[in-house]
Amino acid sequence: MTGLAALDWAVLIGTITAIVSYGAWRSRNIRDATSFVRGDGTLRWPTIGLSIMATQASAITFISTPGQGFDDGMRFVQFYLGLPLAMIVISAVFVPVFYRLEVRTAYEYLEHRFDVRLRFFGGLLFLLGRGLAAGITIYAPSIILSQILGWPLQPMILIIGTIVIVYTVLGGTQAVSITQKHQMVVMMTGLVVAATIVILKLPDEVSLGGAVQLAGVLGKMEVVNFDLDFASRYNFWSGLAGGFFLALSYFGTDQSQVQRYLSGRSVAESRLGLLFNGIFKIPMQFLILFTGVMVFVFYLFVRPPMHFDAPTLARVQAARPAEVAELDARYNARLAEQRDAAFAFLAARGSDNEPAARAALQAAAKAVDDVRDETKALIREVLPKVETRDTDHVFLSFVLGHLPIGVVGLLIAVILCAAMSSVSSELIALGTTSTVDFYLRIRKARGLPPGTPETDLRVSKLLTIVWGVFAIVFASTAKLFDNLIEAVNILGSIFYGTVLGLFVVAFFLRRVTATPTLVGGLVAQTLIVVLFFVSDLGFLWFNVIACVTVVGVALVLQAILPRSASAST
Amino acid sequence: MTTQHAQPPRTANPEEPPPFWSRWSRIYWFVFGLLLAETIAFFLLTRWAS
Repeated sequence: MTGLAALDWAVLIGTITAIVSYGAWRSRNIRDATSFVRGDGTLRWPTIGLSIMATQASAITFISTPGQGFDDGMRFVQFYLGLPLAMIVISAVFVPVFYRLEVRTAYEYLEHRFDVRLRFFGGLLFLLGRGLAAGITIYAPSIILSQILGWPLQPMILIIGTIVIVYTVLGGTQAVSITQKHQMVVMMTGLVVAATIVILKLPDEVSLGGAVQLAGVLGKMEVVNFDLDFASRYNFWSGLAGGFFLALSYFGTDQSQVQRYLSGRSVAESRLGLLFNGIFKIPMQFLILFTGVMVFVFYLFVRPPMHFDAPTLARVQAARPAEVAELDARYNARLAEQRDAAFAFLAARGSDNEPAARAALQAAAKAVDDVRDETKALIREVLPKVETRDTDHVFLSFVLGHLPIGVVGLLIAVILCAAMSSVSSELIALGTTSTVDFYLRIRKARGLPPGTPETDLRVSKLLTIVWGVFAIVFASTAKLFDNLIEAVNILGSIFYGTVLGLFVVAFFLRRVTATPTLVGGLVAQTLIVVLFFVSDLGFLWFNVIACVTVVGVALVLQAILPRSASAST
Repeated sequence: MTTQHAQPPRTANPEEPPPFWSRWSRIYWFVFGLLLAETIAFFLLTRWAS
């Protein structure tokens, strides 16, 4: 294994070991299945809020999002503008009902509101979508860390997966929440340290304001855009509307999130935890993207790699050394021109020369981009099956190349903490849904006597282990997916819309009964699967189409079916 | 002396959400206000940097 100094290893191993050991120790008194899936009901809002944020912040957040800031600027932050509004709706509507009914899973509520068929249907959709996504959540950081640090892939998947399984099974949801609180503190510390260092590493002539203006001139500081453009992926309106629905479905109906706030001491603590997430999520994403933008400005003055995926570039260099050398020479020349243009712009600010200096800088940056595009074209020619998009490698490449010893270990710990915090929430939620919504419910339906608390606890733990092993096995075969983030989003979008539709009917259309809702759900899910295989429709639309289909079909059937046929069983 | 029979309290349906604008509404408005402030700050930052 290469890449890390002894101090980095000490920071990395010390951080991970301390957090995991503390979480497992604090939650060592788990005695029955209920405390395993709901905790001991003592969690306060700071723990709940940090736990909710840690569940959503996967390793990809810390690997890819700074790269997105580097490549595309700040626009992505608009995607989160609908989230605070969704937190308000969930706090006001979902949380008090879940608490009053004392449900352990979101799908248990569907049985209270409709009948057991809806509970099984909602639970099954969650298990399918989240079960597959858990494998990718482990695989994604493993593949990137293994490429950049030169660590072997399979042992890394096994180590991350095993650590998470062990502390999740030992301490249940309580251990997950407690470890996530500390993992989130490490993540935020690492992020602030990285952002501070990158700003301090800018040349003396470049102030923070100057750096922001340089980024602005080169199109990286469009934080908000009010143009109503349906073709644009990120603008204020799509962020507000699309982000609202996505956050409503994720935080309101996905058991990996619902379980976080149902482990609170009271409705008030859960609500405050959710609103905490609503307040701090946007600043956090802003800081992550801004770090990427500052890395971009840093590389205006320090030579960046021609292609950030170094192993791939090395393979191309071995195959076509002359062409790579020629590209490299031109790249160096264009970079020197860009650096001079950046200094010239800073000097010209506020003077009559500013427009000309701005245009010269933009032209110089385009020339640099053109060489990088030519490099990607060469990679595609030499290695047709290799992904040429290198933005996922930008941040880690910067960390390893430019941050001091010790901080590197901290930032690798941040990425591993993020991976473990997401996977642990997913595993405990999968184990809980399998136990509560299927195993225990089917026993009850068959008239079998309830098991002892010890037996139910053993089943909960066993099912959590089964899902963990499934995730590791799936992660080991995840090479099949070209684009991992897209794979996770597609998997989610196939199932999210239908589940959200069930909950929208349940909460807001009180007259609609079980059978029309179930038929609506089945029609919507079939439609989405068909669309997935036969159409080129963007997968983000699946959420909207499925949700609207469930609601529409349920309303129509409720209106036309005889009362006896549409009533709950 | 007449005995006043109190009306039995209306049992709230546990599946019904409570009124949206409860005593929590001030906190909801606070979150909404922060969102508004962030949006305005983002707009000003975008204008200044471009």
